[in-house]
Amino acid sequence: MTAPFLLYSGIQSYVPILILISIAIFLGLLLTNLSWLVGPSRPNKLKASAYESGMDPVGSAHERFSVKFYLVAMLFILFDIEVVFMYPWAVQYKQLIQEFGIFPFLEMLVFVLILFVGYIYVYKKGGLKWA
Amino acid sequence: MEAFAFSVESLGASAAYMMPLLVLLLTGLVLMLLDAFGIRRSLAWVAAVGLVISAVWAWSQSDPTSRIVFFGMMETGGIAPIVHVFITMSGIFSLFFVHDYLKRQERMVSDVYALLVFSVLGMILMANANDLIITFIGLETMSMCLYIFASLFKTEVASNEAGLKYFLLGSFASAFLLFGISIVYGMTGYTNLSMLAEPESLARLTDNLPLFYVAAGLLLIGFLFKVAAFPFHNWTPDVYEGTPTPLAGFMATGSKLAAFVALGVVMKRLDFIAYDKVVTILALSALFTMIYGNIVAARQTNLKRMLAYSSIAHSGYVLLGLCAADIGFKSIIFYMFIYTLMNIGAFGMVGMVESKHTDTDMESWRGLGLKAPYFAGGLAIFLFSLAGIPPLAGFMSKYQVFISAIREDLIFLATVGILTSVIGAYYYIRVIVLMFFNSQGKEPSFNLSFARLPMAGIVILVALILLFGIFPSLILAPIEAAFGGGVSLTALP
Repeated sequence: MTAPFLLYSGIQSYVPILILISIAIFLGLLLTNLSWLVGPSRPNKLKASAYESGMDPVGSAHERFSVKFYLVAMLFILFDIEVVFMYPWAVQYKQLIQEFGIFPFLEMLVFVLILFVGYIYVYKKGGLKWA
Repeated sequence: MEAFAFSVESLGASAAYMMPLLVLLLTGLVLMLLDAFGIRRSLAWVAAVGLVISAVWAWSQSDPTSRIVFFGMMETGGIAPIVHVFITMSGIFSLFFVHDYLKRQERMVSDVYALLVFSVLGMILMANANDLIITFIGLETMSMCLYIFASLFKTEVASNEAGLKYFLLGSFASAFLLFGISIVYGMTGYTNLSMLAEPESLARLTDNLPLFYVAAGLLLIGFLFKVAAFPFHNWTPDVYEGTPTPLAGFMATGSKLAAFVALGVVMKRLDFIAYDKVVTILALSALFTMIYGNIVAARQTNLKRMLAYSSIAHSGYVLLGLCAADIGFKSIIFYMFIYTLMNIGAFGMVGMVESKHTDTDMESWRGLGLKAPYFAGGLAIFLFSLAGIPPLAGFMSKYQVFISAIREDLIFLATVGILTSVIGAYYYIRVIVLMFFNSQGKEPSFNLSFARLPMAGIVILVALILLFGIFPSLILAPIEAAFGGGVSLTALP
């Protein structure tokens, strides 16, 4: 009987990730505690707030704030994701060019062009205006 | 998967088949740019030209042998071109009514046209996909546009309610579909439909039956939500009520056609018909959709809500067709096309007189037939056709679905379908009686001067309904040709 497909992958290939995670946890704990141990502690009211120069973290959760935050956040995510898509392409770029010629470059150009149309649309429609 | 490996040559070969879709993409982008730069005069015409070019191009590629292109992602040939044409026609006919409606509502939301073209693109991607991932992407592309349509009038409460309801429930249902896809992938290692249709993959699915039923159930939930079938129909009336009326017509036809074709293709490839339990679920859903949609529609006093419930009922008939294997699949494509014609007409006409919220109440339509006999006559034809009265096309489409169900020995379901369509006749004809024979001295209060473009649309739609009612083979023959054989619809038993 064959094992289910999901169990094929060897678990041992995740060992480096495990090591990385343990180093990250160790470093994180070390650095936070080090600053607590070594650094001088002179707190004032502003410094002690959760987000310096941000919103007041204590108060009613039903406070109203501008809907524009959402618009900007959505636009940010859109164009942020666009860049994320470019990373794997950029990493493989040399290999892709050798194998397929100019094509991978053109393909990314088309991708960026479509997003550029979106950018023009957002800009012209006033999506980036705060006032 | 070797057959679908990437190469620039195969991309070039695929590109020719992708052109109808790329035309739609380009049209959408051009519309966005025109809108952004404030050139808003002829957006509807640009959209129409793009849709027509795309439809004609797709039609010119029709070919009875189905071909898989774009690295196994898309299907061309076979039923793909005809589905492409039908979906674009749904968009084109909606365009007749959209501009005028928005103008009279004094909300010239010019983004509508780009969204309409993009949603048509999504529908076609979804229906003609050969990979479950593309099905899902198409579904999302379509749904995103439809969510925006639902909440188009953002200062109106009904529209906000519609948008939020549709978005929350719709994204929830999409998640079910995606989960179903992921289980199918986990069981076989493929999302590609032609790889899934291989005996080896099908055997893997049958190896673990309980898990397969879970996957099939999740897939069905995702699709049944989109077509507003019985347990997942609750959003329909509220959403259609809040959506701009001509766009509600588009929503009820194009998106359903796409979802039904996608469901049919998935069912065919994963061989759902072979599993009794899956067919039972589908048949039960069809049964209750027909009964519920018709009975509740009969109780409505608002025309738009009545049409919404009736669209649920029509989904029931189509589901009945889906239960009837291959021949049923043919009949539902015919059915959905005819339904597209009459439903866009009916919604469009309601939109033509609607200027305030109470205008969609049936009471305010009392006596319309005496004041505007031709207009009311047009609506009467759409309603008669929806009720399935010969010689209109609605009769032929219902006949094809029921006859294919009877041929597959679904006698009980077909009987229920015929009985419930009698209820359907009651509530459609009630409106006609109100308009023509039961005026009680009242006259409609709404403005009865109509713009030329929507009138032209109605004339075309009425003509097509009469034409296809008398000569159904004009549509049935191309569908037969697209399927390339199998049991013929046109040959009587």
